[in-house]
Amino acid sequence: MKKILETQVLIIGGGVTGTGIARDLALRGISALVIEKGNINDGASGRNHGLLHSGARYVGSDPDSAAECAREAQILTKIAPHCIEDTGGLYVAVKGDDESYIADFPNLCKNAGVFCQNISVQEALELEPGLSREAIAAFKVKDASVDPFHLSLENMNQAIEHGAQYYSNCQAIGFVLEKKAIKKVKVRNNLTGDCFNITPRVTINAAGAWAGMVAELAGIRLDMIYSKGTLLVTHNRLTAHVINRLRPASDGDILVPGRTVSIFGTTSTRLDNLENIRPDFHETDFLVAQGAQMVPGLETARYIRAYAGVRPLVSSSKPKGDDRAVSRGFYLFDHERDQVDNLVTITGGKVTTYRLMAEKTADLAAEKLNVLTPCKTADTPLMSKAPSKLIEAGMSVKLWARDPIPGDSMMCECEMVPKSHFKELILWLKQNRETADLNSLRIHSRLGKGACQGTFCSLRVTGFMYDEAYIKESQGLDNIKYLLTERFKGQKPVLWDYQLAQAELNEAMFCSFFGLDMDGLDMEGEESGK
Amino acid sequence: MESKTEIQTDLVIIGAGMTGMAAGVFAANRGLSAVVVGGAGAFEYASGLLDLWGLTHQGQGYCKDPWQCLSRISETFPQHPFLKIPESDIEKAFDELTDTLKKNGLTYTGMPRENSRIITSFGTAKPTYRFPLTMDSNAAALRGKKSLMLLDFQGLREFRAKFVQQVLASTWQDINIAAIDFPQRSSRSELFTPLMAQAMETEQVQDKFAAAIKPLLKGEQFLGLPAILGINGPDDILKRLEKLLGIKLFEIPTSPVSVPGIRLRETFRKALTDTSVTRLPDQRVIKAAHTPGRGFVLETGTQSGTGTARIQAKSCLLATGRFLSKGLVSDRKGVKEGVFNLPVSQPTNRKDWHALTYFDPNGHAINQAGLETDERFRPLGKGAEPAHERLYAAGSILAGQDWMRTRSGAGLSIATAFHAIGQVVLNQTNISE
Repeated sequence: MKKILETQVLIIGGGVTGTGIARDLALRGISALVIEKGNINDGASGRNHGLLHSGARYVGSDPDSAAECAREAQILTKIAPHCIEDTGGLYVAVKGDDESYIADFPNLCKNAGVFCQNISVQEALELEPGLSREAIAAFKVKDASVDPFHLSLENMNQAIEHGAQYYSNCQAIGFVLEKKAIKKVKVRNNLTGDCFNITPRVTINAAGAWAGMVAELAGIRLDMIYSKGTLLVTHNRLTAHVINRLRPASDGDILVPGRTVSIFGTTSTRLDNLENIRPDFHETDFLVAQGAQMVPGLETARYIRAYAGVRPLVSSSKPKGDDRAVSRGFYLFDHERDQVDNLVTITGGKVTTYRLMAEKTADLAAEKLNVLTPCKTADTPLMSKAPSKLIEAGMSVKLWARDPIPGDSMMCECEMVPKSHFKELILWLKQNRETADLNSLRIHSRLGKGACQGTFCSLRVTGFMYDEAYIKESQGLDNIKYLLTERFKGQKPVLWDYQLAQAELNEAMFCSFFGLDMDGLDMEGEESGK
Repeated sequence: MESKTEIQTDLVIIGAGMTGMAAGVFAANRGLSAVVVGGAGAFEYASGLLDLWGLTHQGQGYCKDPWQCLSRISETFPQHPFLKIPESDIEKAFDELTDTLKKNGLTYTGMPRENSRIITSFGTAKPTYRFPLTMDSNAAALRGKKSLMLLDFQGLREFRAKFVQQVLASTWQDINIAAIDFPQRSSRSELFTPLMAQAMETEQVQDKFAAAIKPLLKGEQFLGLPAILGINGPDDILKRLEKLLGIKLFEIPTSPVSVPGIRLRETFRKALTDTSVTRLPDQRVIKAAHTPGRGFVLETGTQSGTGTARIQAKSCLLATGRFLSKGLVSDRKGVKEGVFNLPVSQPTNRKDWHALTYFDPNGHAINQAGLETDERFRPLGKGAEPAHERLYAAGSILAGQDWMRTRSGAGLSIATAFHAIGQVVLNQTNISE
């Protein structure tokens, strides 16, 4: 028997928008099912600054977006304070920056309804001693730091608590169309290769940069532009505030503190396809040089990884005949116009406005289902019962110190995560997800995210998983290999100085000692015969 | 008060890791006056296994006969340091070093001219050439796959018996697990392998340990446990426990902190006591200068700045290792040598330092960066000539090798140290003539 799943709404894509839509629909009492071809936030949702925009960045180029950011940031701060750190932000210009933009900035903010306050360079340096001595102007704004993983996990978990379903590693591979509507969606599990069908009444394409490919399954052409942005993660937190370069939005001009680290970016490189989204060396060097103009410590900082995301942009900002896009910040398409009545695409936007994007999308889906319940996401606290707090840096150790368990032991010393927290998480994953392996632990906690990038925590947690019989045979080795392979992608561009030494230790252990590079060496001691 | 020691010596060895200490032993055995300077942190990360060459070329499979693999080394590593050393010298180097270790209470063993395989705490089989006597039955048990009991300690993060058992399960079913509380464990603290090993040195703890295990044995032929059989005198502890328990016992090397590595460090210390070689542990080189035709002047100090020394030496051996021990230092723009700023052979661009994937079978190019030398292991200066006529380099800092992917770490240290000390002695004789 082939598995057939029914749902009122199928959402394709498990980023912050897709999970946000699931939460929105679930709170309205509409059944929603999310399929994600990889894992939560694998796309741009997990590969950005984690900046809750005050709006000031867009006051020059897009005042509507700026105002939208300001409103949404307030809402998110109210409903999800645990995902947000109210750092405040500074806009700083250095010698040589465009003086007319500096002069216009306060008025641009005022016109867009975005708060900003002029402070002296001296005050700015007192607030942030790491700023360049070459600073010539500074403004305070209401930027904050947000954890997009925490947001998406809370979205999805709360949605599940209200009846939604979530399938990771499941990709839409075909639509069966009948009478101007999607009748059936063919889905493949990318881990097992198994295929099954879903029969939704409405399908929402929230696949981000991959939205064009999903639309194509329905024979609809969406001209996407792929714009790659690379970011760097430092080992230590460099500043207390979000630091923005005071100039028209450009490359390498935002430094965002995120709990124990800082994130710096970004770049903008056109890609032809989505096959190899990797940060490269030129971008890394360019970013370091740009950033050092604003915060000189970025030149000598220890970087633990780099990552790249793709901004999903649609080439024509006015798609044919569609006027539902409430802002140039995101795109909402009702494909009724393309003769597919029950398909909707939402793409573009930013983390700050994801809730609004979800609301507008869910409104459209609800209309198609003739459901009149209004959106509740702006007033409902975004707080699930799942152990998603473990995603937050520094949280595990707080909880552990507050409520220590006898016999508990530290599995991860970089991020201070004890065994009991991994156990809680594994049990939850077992109950609510199909897999509980190292990679899913990494997604849901701080595992592999500290200075050692998984060297010590991965083997301890694997040992623990064997002890508890969560894994068997050589699964643990496969788990560790996969984790190391994945983590390496982001380490490669920043491997110099300390991190190169760390990588050397890592390779000495996992290759020279444990032999994980020896694929297919059989235990009989014969040379592997391939 | 700051005290400054003035030292004059024939040879200064910079680096007190595997290479520096092996060089110290070879110098001491030849009565050469030498000073070893530098910290010895890397031993805590060392497996304690003495690899020579563990994998075949290209195929990346297990290499049973390391000597045969060495004879074909130029096919894959045309600049490999081993190519500058006669095979018989490599063998002599291993024999001399393991003899010295044995005299100081740490016995190494192995097949006459073959590699053996040792079970690790991942349940994987690590090919190696010489290994501690406490792992003799480890290799034997893996060869025969006879009935085995694995011993687990409650709360030890670095070794989980079930991990080993499950990974081995597809080819070796006859493995049981018994768990005990380590005798003398304070209830709240984490179990830490070096402290367990220290505790195991007392007969009282050994007796308690044996008493706890004995009732759990079900007639297995071997008992395997993490490497904790003492820092000092592991051979005797093994013998005594085997007698008490009536079973063949063996150690399984674990992830760091590594007891077999610490044992090596302590045994080297012992071996160099009251010899012609002086150790200045904890002292790091702060300033180094050399004059052509003359010798070397090094200023050293501790990290706190107290207890500095000024060393004048006729010859110098660089045994400073790679990035982890700062023998090589890197930034975004390139790799430099850490003491004398010698030229480092390296890929032109940082983007070529690493392969696209972590487990690329060819390894990463950065791991073959290092010092190029002449036939006598003298690092080259800006031209093709040695940087200094009596400056030598040995160990992992040398270019053209990848000790991690070929499983040749200790062998590289031992053989190149042996060869370099041979050259120093030769040169020294020339000076005195």
